[in-house]
Amino acid sequence: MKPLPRNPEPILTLCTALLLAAALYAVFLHAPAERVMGLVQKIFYFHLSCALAAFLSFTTACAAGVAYLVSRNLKWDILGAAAVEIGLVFTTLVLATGMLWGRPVWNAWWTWDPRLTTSLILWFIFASYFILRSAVEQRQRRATYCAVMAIVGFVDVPIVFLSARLWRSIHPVVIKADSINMAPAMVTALLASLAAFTALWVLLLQRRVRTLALAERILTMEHRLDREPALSTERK
Amino acid sequence: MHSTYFLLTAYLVIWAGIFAYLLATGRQQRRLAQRLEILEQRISETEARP
Repeated sequence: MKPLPRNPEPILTLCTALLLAAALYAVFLHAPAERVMGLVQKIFYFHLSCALAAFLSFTTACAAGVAYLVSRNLKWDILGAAAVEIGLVFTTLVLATGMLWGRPVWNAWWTWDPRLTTSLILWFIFASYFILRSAVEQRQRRATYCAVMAIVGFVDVPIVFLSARLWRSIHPVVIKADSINMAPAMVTALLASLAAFTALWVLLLQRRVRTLALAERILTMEHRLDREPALSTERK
Repeated sequence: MHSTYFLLTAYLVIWAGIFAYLLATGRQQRRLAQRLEILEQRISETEARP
């Protein structure tokens, strides 16, 4: 039996905790309050960071899907499932924090703006990934369907990103191709938040991959043990 | 005051969401550890059989 790879979790946890503390310091004590929106603008730093983590997750899931279809190695399916799970958590947080920002700024919890609508579609696409996952029992077939679903679902990621730029949208576009519409201290807070959430994403992903890989190994061993008496009877 | 309320709620939602997810995954890990223990027992019983 192959041993499990060495666990990098303690170091990753420490790095993530330090980065998150630095991000919180930068957001609440270093970055100034925005002139028009006031304190509520500070939601933006973690809102965008959650969006980055979600995009990273779905990109990873798409790449893992391609890798699975090419190699037929189940480790890619495990990576894809872990990435989609984390992506879904972060997309939920993006939608929730967006609504909490929208209420005081737009005076509405929700509008059918292109950015919001495409984000909600993204959430539904990857929520249905898990319905598909639990519906198909045969291991290889499930992995194939899920890989295809992750690749197809990924199409919505660039649409979400470009929606506020391509269509008429009330969603703010802070980061443009040639400039960032923020004060330098705000940029520092944003970069600190992005770094912290990227570290958190890596931590969660490796943790989930290890857990799902362990679950897979346990399941395989249980099946083998269940077949064991039948095999010994056949031998007799 | 109004915007502070929304700001605090948003950060509370983020941390609560992440902790709830960590809690759920931690619970799954504990269940897996239990299954692993049972498996180890079954394997040692199978090996002990003549």
